[in-house]
Amino acid sequence: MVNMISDTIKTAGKTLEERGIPDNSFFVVEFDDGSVVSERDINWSSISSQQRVQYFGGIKTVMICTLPVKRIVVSHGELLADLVVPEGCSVFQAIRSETVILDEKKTNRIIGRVVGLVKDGEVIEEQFLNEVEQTVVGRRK
Amino acid sequence: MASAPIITFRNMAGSVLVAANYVQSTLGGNYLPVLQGENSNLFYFRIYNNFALAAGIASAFNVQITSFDAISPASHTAGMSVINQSWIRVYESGYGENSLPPGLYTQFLGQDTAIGGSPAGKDIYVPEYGSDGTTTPYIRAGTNTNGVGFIEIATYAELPDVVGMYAYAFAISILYEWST
Repeated sequence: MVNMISDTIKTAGKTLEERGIPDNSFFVVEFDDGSVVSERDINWSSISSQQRVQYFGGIKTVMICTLPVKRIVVSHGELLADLVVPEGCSVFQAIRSETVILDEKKTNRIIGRVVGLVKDGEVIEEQFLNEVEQTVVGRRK
Repeated sequence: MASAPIITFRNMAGSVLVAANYVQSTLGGNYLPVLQGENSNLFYFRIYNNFALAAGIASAFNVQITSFDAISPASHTAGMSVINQSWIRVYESGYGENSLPPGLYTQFLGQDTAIGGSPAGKDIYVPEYGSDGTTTPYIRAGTNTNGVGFIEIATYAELPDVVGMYAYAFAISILYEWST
């Protein structure tokens, strides 16, 4: 019996909601061997490592997947990003949140997700699933 | 890592803050409104992640600070001049971790930056140093060996010459990214 990449990943042990994410916001990753995992079952931190990369003229810290990814689909409510990962590229994704103080109240909320591609230490594409404006906006080098 | 960062605004002693009130910077002006054409007092606050050291909390990456109008932070309308004209200024004044609250502290004076702008939130401040003293603008969650992470921010209001007598309210917003 051959182990698929997805079989080697530690499971999250918590639901999305227990991790502070709405049930309709998650990634699905297809690895090079065809196996598939979802954020419903694993944490991104189990398959990624932190790296500082060039980012459209600046610097950004991203969590890059350390396993060979063929494709990643990120859903956030009605918004969707579907990236096929080209040869020589790595993929990152993250949840974007904001904490606001207003009228003597503090609120936390998720405002979307980002997903992107890194090549040679530089972000070459990023898509932002913007919950506030209900749009997907992208940048490409 | 697994769960969302737990961001709190606190003073240097670790008490939770729910507002930053700008007052006169002149001697004895602590309870008086800021005068037009003057700068307010300096107000310091700390942004902590996971102050209670809960297990499995994610670090907050790519931290940005900005300001929105008080009508609705979600609207991004920049409808009030406090935001539109970028009266609010911030800069990093320190950082720390590796300790129980209120945390070891290293002073650092960042770049004094006007935040807000139009459309609201356009002008942001990115902290120069992260909670661990590296040039990565993040606040580590402190669930491993790195203790309670925070960055300290100094802020003041820079009022234009013609303001009028009003009470202006606005939101301070911390944007960040994290992964499960």
